[in-house]
Amino acid sequence: MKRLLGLGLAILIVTVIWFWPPGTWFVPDCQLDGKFSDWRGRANLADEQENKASANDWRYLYWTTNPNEQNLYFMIERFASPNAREGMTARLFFDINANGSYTNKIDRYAEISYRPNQEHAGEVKVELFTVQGDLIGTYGGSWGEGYLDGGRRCEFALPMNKLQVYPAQSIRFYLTSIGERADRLPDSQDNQWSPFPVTVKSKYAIVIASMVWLAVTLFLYRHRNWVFYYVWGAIGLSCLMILLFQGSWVEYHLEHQTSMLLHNTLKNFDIVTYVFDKSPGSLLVLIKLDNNWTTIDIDIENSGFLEICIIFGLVMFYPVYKWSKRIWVGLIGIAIVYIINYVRLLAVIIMIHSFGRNMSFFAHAVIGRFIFFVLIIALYWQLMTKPTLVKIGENVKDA
Amino acid sequence: MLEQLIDQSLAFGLFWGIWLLVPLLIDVSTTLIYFITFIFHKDEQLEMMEELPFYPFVTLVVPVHNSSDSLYKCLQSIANQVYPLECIEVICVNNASEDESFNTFQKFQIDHPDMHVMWSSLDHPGKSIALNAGIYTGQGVYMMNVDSDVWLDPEAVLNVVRTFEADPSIVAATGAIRVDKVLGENSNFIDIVNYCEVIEYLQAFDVGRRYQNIKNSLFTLSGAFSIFRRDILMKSFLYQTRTVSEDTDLTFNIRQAIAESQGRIGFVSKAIAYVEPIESLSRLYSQRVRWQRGEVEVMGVYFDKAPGILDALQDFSGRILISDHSIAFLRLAWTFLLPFMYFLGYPLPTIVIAMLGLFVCYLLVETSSFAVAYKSVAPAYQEELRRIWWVVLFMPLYRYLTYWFRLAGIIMALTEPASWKVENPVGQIENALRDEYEAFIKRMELLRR
Repeated sequence: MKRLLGLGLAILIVTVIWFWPPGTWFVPDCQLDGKFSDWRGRANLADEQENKASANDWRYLYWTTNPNEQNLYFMIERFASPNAREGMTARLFFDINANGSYTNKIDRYAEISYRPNQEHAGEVKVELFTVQGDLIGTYGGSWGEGYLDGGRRCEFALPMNKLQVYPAQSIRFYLTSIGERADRLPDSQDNQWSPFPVTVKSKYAIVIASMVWLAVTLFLYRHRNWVFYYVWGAIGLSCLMILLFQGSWVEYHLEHQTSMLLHNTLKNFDIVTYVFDKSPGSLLVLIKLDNNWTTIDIDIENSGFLEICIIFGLVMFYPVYKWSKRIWVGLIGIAIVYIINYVRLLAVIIMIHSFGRNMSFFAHAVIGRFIFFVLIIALYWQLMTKPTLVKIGENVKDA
Repeated sequence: MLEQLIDQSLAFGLFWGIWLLVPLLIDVSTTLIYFITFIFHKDEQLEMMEELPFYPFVTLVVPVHNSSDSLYKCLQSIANQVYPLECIEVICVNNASEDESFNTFQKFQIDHPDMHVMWSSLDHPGKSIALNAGIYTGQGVYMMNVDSDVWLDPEAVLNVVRTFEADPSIVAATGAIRVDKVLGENSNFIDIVNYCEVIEYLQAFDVGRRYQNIKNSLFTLSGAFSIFRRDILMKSFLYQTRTVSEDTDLTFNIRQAIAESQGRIGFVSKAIAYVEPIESLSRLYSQRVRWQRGEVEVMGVYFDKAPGILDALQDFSGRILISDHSIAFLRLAWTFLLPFMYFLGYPLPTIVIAMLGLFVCYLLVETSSFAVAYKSVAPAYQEELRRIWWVVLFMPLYRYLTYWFRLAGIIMALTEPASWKVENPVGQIENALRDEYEAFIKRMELLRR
């Protein structure tokens, strides 16, 4: 009977993993193909039309990342110029260390040349330079719109290693054209972003990992080795949940709903924010002090996603509750971690908005973390320590 | 490039490492609090009478269970006391020993005909019951419990009595327990573990208990060597068998008994008792599992109603539980999650450097804590300690090891019945694999037939 139960559990886990919808079901990957429907609904900044005669009057700048790729994707859209075949040249400046200066040794800029020279395609050439003007990379392809399609949009990607950007690092950027009356996007200041491309593991890897986990868990359970059973079971379950949910509709929904909730709450504080359907978790916050933008990405560092998986894993294997109760307590834990994370994010955004984005690291890594930590400890006391005291107290008194 | 890698590791370490850093921050703040408290309480040592006008009668209870190897040394250390031997009564309470303990006792009695030593015997094993039997029999004004594998410093009893006579508010106290190990002679694995144990005890008693003494927040009257006023002890429930930590249980019991009065539970740093160093990791595991289990069991019994987090924060025992229990789960999760971040997209060098950084932070805390303990001991012992200064490098690993042992205690308190000796989980896995292998061979043989 027990063997049948184990087998049934194994089949159930494999089935769930195998038929788990991929993340692209919710947010398709961005392709460099000169087609732009995949940019719809992604994080962007818009600019007003300033010069109808100009070929370099920016309308939108989009940015995103793809799962499993260490590249930053951008899309530039200009206002239609009188001549759709006319090329454009743009410069995208990066403040890699996000210190407000674009002239540090580490900073970079990309020069983008776009020629809508074919009916349905346009050539794009991107050169990446150090701030001293040394060329460090050239990238190109038919990544633009053709002149029959309007000749307005082009897309490109820059490798994070060439930019010297690591996941979760804050960078700043702005777009500009060259020459007199050059247009700029945003019109003043810049946008701050902390890109973190999602890493999704293959289903084969997750299935193998979960089968190993299940086999070892059942072995430890069978031999009543409760210490290793708890450590292996709880941590393994947390890690498998993270692997399965990361970059899937679960994580995207979690991040999107969080950003929507924050967006609606922040209205009450007169803080202007934008959210985007296909950039789940991206919350563009307008900073009050100097009128610039910060993209708050509700990603792995901000979504509480890891902490949610951890509390669930720890509770599900903690022997203080009966099995049926563990699920409920685990779900309550998830809900409370979500709320705690929401409070943390609210505090971080209000701090950045009030004191400027130079505070962002401090607000995010210190104050936000402190708030999160204190509330999480309180939660662990209530869900783990307090019931332990009750149960052990009863056990000792009954003995 | 290097600068960026360091920045990156720092950001990662600060952000994710916080889960492992917070236990460290608690240690740092505790060390800082101790340090500041010691500065402002230069006379934190309990007051002692210079000369005793008379020597009160004291009873030393020694529970004996298969202690033939150590009993003579223990009793000899009592015989070596500078306190007048005619004012000392020793009661050895045998609890179902199956070795030569009684013969050892007899030999001691023959060698020391001038001493009041008694032997009483119980049919069943049990340290608590043996101690209680000795306490009931004893006639001393002061009752002292001494484990049979412990030996006392010659001035231990005298310093205890001088302290209790000088301060009527003190109702019970623990002595300073030190690990009796020759320092710096060998450096095998178990020697290094023992040196770590030496430093750990030094920090726990000469720093931790000193602070608890000042704040009257002593958590455990050590089972190895504790002292009680007899009248107060008789008002308590004595040692109880309901938890595996009868000494902590009694400490809380006495604390409740004196809650209304101005009495306090203290620490006599000049009453030194020596214990054997631990023989193996399995024994260390067994000991720490028992300690942690005992802590949770005693807390479970003593809170009438399990407190919420705010009430827990206001109580010193609640704060200890937050640190030892609630935060233990975060440490557990993030020990594995931090390296796991590599699979989530963080660069490996960043993670490795951040974890090394965490180790360095722990090392700094251990060093400062060691320095505070070092300052507080006698110059002769300082000289010995200098021989093993390098062990501080191993202290973070030792603490981490004992953290895991204590975590096992938390789990076992909920899953296994109480027991003095605990099989370690690695041994359990070896046995389980052997069982599985044998079952597999049997199955194969059956198939072949």
